[in-house]
Amino acid sequence: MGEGTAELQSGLVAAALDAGELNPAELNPAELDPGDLDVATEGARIAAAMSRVVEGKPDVVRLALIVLLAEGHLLIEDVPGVGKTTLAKALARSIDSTVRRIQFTPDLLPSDVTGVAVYDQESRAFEFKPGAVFANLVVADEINRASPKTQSALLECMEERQVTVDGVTYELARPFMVLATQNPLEMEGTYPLPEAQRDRFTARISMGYPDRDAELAMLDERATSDPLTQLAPVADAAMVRALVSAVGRLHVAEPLRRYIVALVEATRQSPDLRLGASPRAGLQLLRAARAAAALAGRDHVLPDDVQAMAVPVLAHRLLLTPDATLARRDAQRVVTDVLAAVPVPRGR
Amino acid sequence: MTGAAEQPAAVGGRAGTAAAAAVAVLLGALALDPVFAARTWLVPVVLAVALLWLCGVALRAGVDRLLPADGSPTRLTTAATAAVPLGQVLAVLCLLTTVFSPEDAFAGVLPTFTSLSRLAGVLGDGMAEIREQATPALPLTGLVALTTVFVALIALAVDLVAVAGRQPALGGLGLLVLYCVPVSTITGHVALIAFLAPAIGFGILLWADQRGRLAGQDRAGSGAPLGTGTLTAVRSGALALAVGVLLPVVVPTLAEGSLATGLGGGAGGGTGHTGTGLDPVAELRGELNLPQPMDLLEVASSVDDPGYLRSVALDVYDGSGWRMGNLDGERSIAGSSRLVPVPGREPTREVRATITSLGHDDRFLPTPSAPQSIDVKGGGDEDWRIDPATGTVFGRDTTTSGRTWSVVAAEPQPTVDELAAAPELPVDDRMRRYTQLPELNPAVTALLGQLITPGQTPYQRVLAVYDHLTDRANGFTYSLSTAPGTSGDALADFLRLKRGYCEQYAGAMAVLVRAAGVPARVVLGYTPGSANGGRNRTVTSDDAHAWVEVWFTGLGWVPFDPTPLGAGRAVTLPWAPRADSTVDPASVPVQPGTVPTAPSAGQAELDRDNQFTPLDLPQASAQGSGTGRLTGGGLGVLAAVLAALPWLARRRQRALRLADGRPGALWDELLATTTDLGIAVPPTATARGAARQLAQQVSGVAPAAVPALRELALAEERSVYGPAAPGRSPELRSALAEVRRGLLRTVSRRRRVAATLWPASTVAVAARWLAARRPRRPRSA
Repeated sequence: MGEGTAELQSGLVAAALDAGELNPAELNPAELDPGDLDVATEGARIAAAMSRVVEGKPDVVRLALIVLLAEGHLLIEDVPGVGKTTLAKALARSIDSTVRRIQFTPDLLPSDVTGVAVYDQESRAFEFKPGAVFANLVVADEINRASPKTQSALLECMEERQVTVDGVTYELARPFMVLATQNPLEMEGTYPLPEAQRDRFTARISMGYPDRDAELAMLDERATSDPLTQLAPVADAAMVRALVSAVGRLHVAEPLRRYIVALVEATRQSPDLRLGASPRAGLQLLRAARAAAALAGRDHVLPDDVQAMAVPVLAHRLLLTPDATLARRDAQRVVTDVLAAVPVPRGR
Repeated sequence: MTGAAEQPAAVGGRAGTAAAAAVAVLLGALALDPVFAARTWLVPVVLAVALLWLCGVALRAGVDRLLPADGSPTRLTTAATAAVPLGQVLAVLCLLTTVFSPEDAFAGVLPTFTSLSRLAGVLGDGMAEIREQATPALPLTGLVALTTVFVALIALAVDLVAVAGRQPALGGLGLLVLYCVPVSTITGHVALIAFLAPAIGFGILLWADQRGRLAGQDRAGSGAPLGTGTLTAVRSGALALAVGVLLPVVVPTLAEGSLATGLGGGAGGGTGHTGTGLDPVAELRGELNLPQPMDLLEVASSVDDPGYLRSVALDVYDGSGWRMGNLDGERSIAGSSRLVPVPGREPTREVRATITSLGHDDRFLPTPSAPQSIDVKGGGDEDWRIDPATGTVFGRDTTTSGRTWSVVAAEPQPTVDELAAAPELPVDDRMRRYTQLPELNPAVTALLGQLITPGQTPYQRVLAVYDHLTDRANGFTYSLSTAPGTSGDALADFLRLKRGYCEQYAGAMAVLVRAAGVPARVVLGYTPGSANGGRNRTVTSDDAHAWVEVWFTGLGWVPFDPTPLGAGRAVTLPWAPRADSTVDPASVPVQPGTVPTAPSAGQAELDRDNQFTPLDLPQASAQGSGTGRLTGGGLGVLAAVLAALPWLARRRQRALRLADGRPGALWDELLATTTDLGIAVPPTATARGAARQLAQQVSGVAPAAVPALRELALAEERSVYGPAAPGRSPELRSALAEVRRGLLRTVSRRRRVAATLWPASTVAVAARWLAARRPRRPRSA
């Protein structure tokens, strides 16, 4: 399955390739026992592997890992050329699992993503050709360049974790994670993601420019070789499933749940926001906080984890009022303000 | 009052406010109680206030009836509203007529022209009685009439402001005016009622104000945010109370009533206050009143019986007090060995002294008399100037703080014979300027006429004055509070009431000596202090003193000290033996504000001799002041207990939490400590966030506290968010102690004291408790 990391450079269907290998049933083998797992150690190994490619960005790497363990999807938003795709690829390569990359273009069709039923003349029956989403990790490159129709096809898969074509439902692989990259909306020729669909992403991060030294080092190393090609997987899909399961069993105290609800509620009451965070946002914030706590080696979640995850998990779901936009406030700032206003419950 | 339907409620509210205003004014008027010797004054005052109130309510109700149905004011109602106070005034006038001049009134009530002029006469008598009487005053008719008018005017003003102006709280100004009366006329402590009654009255006004405001907000339809600012209100209110009551107990009092300004306290002479030295224009009493005497100077003298240390000579008497004339700052003390010229015939002895400033910080340099050469250690002689005429040494942009100076002085040692032989001052002598006086009170001139007889030598005249002041039989008593005078002339009052301290004594003697044609001036400085081994002496703030220097032709300035001093402080002046050869032990300075001292036998005796007062009430006044001190002391104790409540509560809370010992309790205690110390840990901070913030704060001064903080934070985290709460552990307690020590080290001492005495965390809890028990209105009401 290591060969499954073939990438599609064109905007055409990934399903045409390796179709034979992609038996959805095979993607869910027997589970590892999560009880034996040390999430922090395993996570650190994956992160270390990724960091060899994505240099000088430990926070970004960690967040990507958190989203993976939280069974979420990651939206990487930044200007071209700062390593969005590299991050996605690094995560994909660090884990020995099926990976598909879809380069989104305006002419990409929904069936290219989900798959299509093709009439087989020999068997005189329709045969399902799986689309690119039938993989553990799907890199949706420049998602905002595809038409809304195609975008929503992908986003539905992300939420449902299944594909229904011609009345037949196909389960997607586990783990299933979409790493979508997009350029900021100001860039030309893009179809911005509708707000409702941005809500499907667990977290949004921006890469940011590397610092001076990291950029120098990159110029030095990448001139001759691509470190991505030398990246060996340090985990496999079964391991990731076990990690996800272990994360899910972390203790969440009652005051902490109250805290998350209070935070989400506070965004709904913020005068700066037209649309606050959804209940799904609260759920994903809890999941992300859990994963963060597990990666930190704790068996319980702290408000600190929630606070650390609040901006990446909540900010991209919020809609500012026109006034707030005019006042040059942004969603990150609003989330930070909410954090600074909601007291941490102590349970006594 | 926008609709007719709301009128009854508004009228009811207004009547309530009017009643509150009337009650408040009556309580405020109780402040006048200590001013009077009997309570008979109260009847007409109560009648007048009640009449004003009833009249106001009735008239306003009448005006409301004139209002059209829609409640909008018409011309008629506007005029009627304006006429309400007029009606109230007329009603009070009728009352005054009935009470004070019913004879010529129509039916005994309605004032006529004759009755009015009679009333004016009564009020004029009242003015005269105010001038003549000392407090507590007899409630004579005129005075009572005047008081009634005064209180009625204030009641009218408060009523106008509170009811018509709808600002009941502002009416408190009226109560303040009432409170000012006892404060400005009574010497000694003002009785408790004078403070408490207006305070309660003001509380009633505030209540009315708040009520009015809330009612107004209800009409506006917005919910009243009752809970807002409770914490601040409770804190500042309680703090103000504690400070207001405690401060006067702790701090030396300055005001003894406006009539009692000392002779030395004259008009300002352009010199600012100069630290812990003698301010020539301030009163010595402040120095003498320090609750803890402060070490000022250390003097190493070449003689066993050093004289006074002079700081400043006051050579101008302006009718209200002695002050410094212009200083001649031409000459510096550098390099001179004859700073102050001594007349050739004056016998002197050489005194060498090295003086070190301990707590003394003044621009005037204390020296023995009369300085011939001064050497300030560490240079800077040029900065010290001497005025040869007065012998005053003063710094230019420099003070005595931290300095040491050596002085060689020529101390005058005239013999009695020489003084007796000193001739009359020539008419055109330049020393004539030291006999200049403004026109004196006739009582003073008359007294001098009794003391001296024509043909006496200057020395005999000086001694006559001196004996009058020092002879016990004449009834002068030493007291840091002067007796309340009424003549408007502090000197005449002192000579009549015979109570005062060194400044009064010295000032009076200098004036009388000048009036007798002999040059004299008042000198401020220090008595030699107490010996502390060998010839070293320590001068404290209790040694601040004023005495007199008299000029004898051919001999120079000779010191005289009319003040009765304790045996330890007095300087023996052979030429001026005290008429009372034994020193009265009771005349040692009494520290007001400490233990209430019963009047000593001597003083009681003197009081009996005091027959000058037209209204002979000094004993009552002394007693009143005694009970005043007692109530003041009781109040102080009460205030101390009240003020200690937060501290006690905090201690108890702390002990409980430490006894609990669970991580949560210890963390609570840590947060409470930070609140007490004013270290703001926001409620939005997580345990480790708080620990990080505190660690940053303590890491500099107490690195050991950082791991302790970490331990506490982790335990707290686990106990709240972890699957199984960790148990109690003694390590955590010691960690808390470590952190607490570290935190205490990061804040100023002032903060530490404040945290102990006034723990903000306890107060915050109290405020929350109060807020929780307050009925809240729904937001959308």
